[in-house]
Amino acid sequence: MITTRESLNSILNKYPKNPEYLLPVLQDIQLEFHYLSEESLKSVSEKLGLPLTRVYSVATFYNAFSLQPKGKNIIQVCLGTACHIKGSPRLLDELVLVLGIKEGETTENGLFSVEAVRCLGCCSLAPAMMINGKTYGNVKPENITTILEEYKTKNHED
Amino acid sequence: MEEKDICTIKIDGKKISLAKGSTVLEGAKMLGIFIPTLCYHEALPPRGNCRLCIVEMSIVKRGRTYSWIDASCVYPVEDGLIVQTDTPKVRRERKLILELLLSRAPDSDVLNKLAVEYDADKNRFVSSDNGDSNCILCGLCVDVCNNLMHSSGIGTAFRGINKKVVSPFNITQEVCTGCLACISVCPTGAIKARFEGENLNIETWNVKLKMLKCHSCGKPFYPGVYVDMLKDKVTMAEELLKKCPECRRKVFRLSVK
Repeated sequence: MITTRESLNSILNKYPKNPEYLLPVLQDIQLEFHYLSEESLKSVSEKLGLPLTRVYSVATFYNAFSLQPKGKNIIQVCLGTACHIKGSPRLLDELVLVLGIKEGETTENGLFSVEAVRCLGCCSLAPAMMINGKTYGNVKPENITTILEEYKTKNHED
Repeated sequence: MEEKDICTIKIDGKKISLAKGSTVLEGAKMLGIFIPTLCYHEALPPRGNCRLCIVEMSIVKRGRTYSWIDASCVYPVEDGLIVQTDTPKVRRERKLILELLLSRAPDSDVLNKLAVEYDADKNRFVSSDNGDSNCILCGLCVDVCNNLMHSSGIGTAFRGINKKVVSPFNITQEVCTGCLACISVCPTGAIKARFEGENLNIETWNVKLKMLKCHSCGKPFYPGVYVDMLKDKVTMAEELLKKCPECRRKVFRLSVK
């Protein structure tokens, strides 16, 4: 088994020591660990020769990065204009009810994180939500349990 | 300097010639005309963040008069520019800006004095942090720490209404030398630091540094890491560096005789 430290190092070693690789490095770490730990940011700052403040500024600025551990499955509910009008806030309410967590939080078993996003770029499918990059269009609140069930069983099989 | 590199502008009716690339605020300073500023500091490049230094400007081009309001600290002078620093329009705009700034920093002395002058209502707006931080996010402290002291101890984090100036993860960093430059440039007095016996405690950045005791009189005077940094920057005997400024002066006085 590869340890956290080793996989972090393998990401860092992919890039040359140059501040311009800050974003790609952070993206890779986010993809691998689902969040940016304090330790990983310190390693990035050492590796790229950037002050920790700079790395921290960038990491906290972008919504794509998270400093708190995220769940295995990330549910993004679109609250953009079209989805909003088609009732996506009700989807979010339903998710909050079903999973028992608020927007931006992660379930205790680490399976799901709920995020509200502004536009998924598929307004014709409004109201839309996305789980791990897979888009669900024309979602109705009553369908949510069925959709989530798919991910629950999938993770049991793993 | 050639003639084409000189611009003649008029500020409040007074003429002044400035080199191309100078700002309107610099011109006003030379003429002794006061323009209120918060985020301007001579030691650092102008940033145009606080907007308090706005002035009314106008220029005649192709027979038409154009006039507008802009921040004087970042506006480069232009030949024939006419600047008015204290018109009713400017005062009205400054009042609004002050009210917005006051919602973030309600306890700042400088802002409160200006509020009286411009008749600004302190309670008109409510900020997301209710003014707890007293910080108007001008960024002077971040600039001085990163680009002048080269310490890189603090930076901005988060964004939008959640943006703030922090030390990363709010942990004590070994990079802070306790030079207190951030406090000296802060216009609103938002950064808090205390001397606690032998320690310097910068509460806002969660930094605690041990003070060095003067080798002659034993009084704690500078943080130890600060003296270490000075060693590389100034040409002074190490023995002298480890004395407090007063004792150092005594030594110098002897050498003058």
